[in-house]
Amino acid sequence: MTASRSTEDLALVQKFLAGDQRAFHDLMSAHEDRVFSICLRIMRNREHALDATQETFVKVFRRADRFTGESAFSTWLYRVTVNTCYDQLRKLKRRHADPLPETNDPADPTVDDQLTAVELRPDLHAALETLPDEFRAAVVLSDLEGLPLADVAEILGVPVGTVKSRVFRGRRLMAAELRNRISPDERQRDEHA
Amino acid sequence: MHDHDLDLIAAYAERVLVGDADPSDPAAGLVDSCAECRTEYDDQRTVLALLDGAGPASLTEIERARLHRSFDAAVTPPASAGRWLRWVPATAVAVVALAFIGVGGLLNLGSGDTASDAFDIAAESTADTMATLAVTEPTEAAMDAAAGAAPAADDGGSFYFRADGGMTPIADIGSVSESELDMLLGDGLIRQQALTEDAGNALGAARSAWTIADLECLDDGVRALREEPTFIGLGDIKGTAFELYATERDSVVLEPPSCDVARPSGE
Repeated sequence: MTASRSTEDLALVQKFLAGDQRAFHDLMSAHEDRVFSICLRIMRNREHALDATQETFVKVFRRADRFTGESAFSTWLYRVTVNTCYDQLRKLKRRHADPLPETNDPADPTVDDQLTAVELRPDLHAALETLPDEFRAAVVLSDLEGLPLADVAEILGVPVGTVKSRVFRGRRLMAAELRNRISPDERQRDEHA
Repeated sequence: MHDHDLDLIAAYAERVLVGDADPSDPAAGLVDSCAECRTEYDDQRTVLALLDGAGPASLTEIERARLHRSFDAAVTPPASAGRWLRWVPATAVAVVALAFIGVGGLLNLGSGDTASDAFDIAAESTADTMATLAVTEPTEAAMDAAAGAAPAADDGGSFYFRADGGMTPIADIGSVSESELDMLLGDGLIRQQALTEDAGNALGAARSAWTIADLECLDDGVRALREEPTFIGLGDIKGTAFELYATERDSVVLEPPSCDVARPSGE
């Protein structure tokens, strides 16, 4: 995130809070792909990711006055994003036996299937999917979205050391998964380390 | 291997990947001198390289349009409908259900069937679906929906899954017979309902974003009914879009964008 982007975001937030609705659409346009990307990698499903993206922006729209400007807007936005994804994952787990109803929107011909949709190699996608939620969020933000560890720490609300630990161990678990030689002992050791 | 070593090795793998590694890096010696450290380094580097090549995902244009449409619907109350939508009664749902049946019949008449025939065919083809729905217990989504609206849906009832992903408590449309509901589920799909979260029941609350959107024929609907509608349904039947405007006494179906009358009021 460049300094000019941060400055521009702050100006747009201030405009929006002053009543300029158009400013929020500009903010949304600037960040929607990144928010969707984070949601997609955490949720592992395009439809759920789209729902989470929408919910994220609705929350931000309604709570923009809570943005204090102490961090970059993007950091605050991604924190809302990750928390929204966590909430939705929890809901999905609770209702796992009850699949969500399909929407009646036409099929998107540019999305072939879920593996293509996630834009990761299938084996990589599968390995990422095996990670515990908090490990996956750290790996997604750090290694896939390329955010600095300090930003990831702020987004996840944990110390930098914890982020490092989650990222490194997440990679280790993924590598083991990719080699398909992971032992239950190894997984248990990493997840509880 | 200690945690400290893992930190060193992972950070070294990152530096190697971006071409910023120094041969005198202490981690390099560690990797060379210890088999476990070498494995760790290989793991970190392999996964990093794979993830690095993935790049960010992005929305397709269709998804982007959907996102903006649903976002706008969630945060923008309809300019002329908000006043009366706040007090829409739950009983209006029965009106809309019946009206949809009328729409289905009307469109089927156009293709040569009688309304009655079309109704029977739809009822037969969706009998299994209804049987399943009739025993469906309230889901988490339904509970969420009920939590967002008051009063809550009948928690002992089943739900009609709308095309917009929300749920309508069947108890709310209890005056409609099961075969009429079949028709509703078979041919007529409610895409969106013009109900707000404080509409007095759980309708639309599961996805408030989809409750209000894109009313093109509101003025015509009000003019046709000669009063403000208590319920609006946007949907399609066999691919034909329609907007339904209803009160407890009357309803009219209009076809956007022309707003031609597909089913006049008083029928």
